[in-house]
Amino acid sequence: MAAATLACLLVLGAAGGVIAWRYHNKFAPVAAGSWVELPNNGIELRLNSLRVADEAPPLYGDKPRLPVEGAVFVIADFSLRVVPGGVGPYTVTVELQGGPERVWAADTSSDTIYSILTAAKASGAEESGTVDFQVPASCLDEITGVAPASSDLGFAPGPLFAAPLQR
Amino acid sequence: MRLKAGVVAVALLSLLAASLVKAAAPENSAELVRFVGLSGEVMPGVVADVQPLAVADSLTGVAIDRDPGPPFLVLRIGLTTRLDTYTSLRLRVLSDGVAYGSAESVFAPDPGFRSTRDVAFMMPLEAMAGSHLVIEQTAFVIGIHQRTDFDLGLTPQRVDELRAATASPLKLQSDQTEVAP
Repeated sequence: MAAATLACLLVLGAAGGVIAWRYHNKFAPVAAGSWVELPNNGIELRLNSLRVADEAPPLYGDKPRLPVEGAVFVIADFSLRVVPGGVGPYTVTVELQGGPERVWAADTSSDTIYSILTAAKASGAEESGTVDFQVPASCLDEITGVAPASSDLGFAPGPLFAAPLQR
Repeated sequence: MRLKAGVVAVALLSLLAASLVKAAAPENSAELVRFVGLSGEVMPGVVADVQPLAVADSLTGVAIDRDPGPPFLVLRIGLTTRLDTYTSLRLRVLSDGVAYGSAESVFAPDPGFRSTRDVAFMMPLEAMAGSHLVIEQTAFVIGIHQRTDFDLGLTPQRVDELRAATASPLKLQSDQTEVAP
């Protein structure tokens, strides 16, 4: 009985240790320009550049979008291709990663990675495009890169696409 | 055999412990409700501030409006996020044990931003005085929801003042985002 209790406690302790380790090792950094196959997704992604901009490309019409006062856009330039013979679901959403527990979603309605994906699926070739994020200008220094959303939920560290932030 | 019995015993103890945690903190447990004034943390890293804005007889641009019908208590809700969260927040106004819901959920903005929006609660005029706003995190954590109870400070006189000062029909402000001060 005591041995079993000890064994269970050891297992619980080990599990806690793994969770703690995993929490602090969510991501495996990937240098800009490297292709990475997203696990169980059927697509490969490459970050070409990461830059700061005062305006973002227009979505509908021809007027560029402006950030709210005190904020800037961070624009991630991605290339994407479908893995030959890969199995879907061919979906990806990316998020801008900052310090611990600091994540920014793509700017409203601008998640163009989906349109890059649609183009790549249609053409069967590499396609490129941008995704923009709106962040407070004061937060730029904490940005570490861009990662697929929910990639930190698996057991293996998810890819963190890192590139020098061009200002 | 002993090993199996031990494993079963530990599993049962774990279940018992989980049940005790849940029993000690049911959804309406006071221990999980944080009582605040017009500003307070609604979940780790997310602070809300509330301003009783208007008492409107009718609204424009919302599906819930009925004419004639009960009036609306309109609250301007500001949310500031320090940490990332995906959780939506459910809003209810409580008055004399009756909950009046809103048709909408509210989402916290991304870190470093502050969002404000008007939220309307259809409720009897006489129930507005003394009412409280409860903001509840909708994430499921072993059946426990964190709640924050905002005292709106509404007296019958304040309700009358707000009603007299409110244009009819009232147009609600939708989400506005700015960099947090």
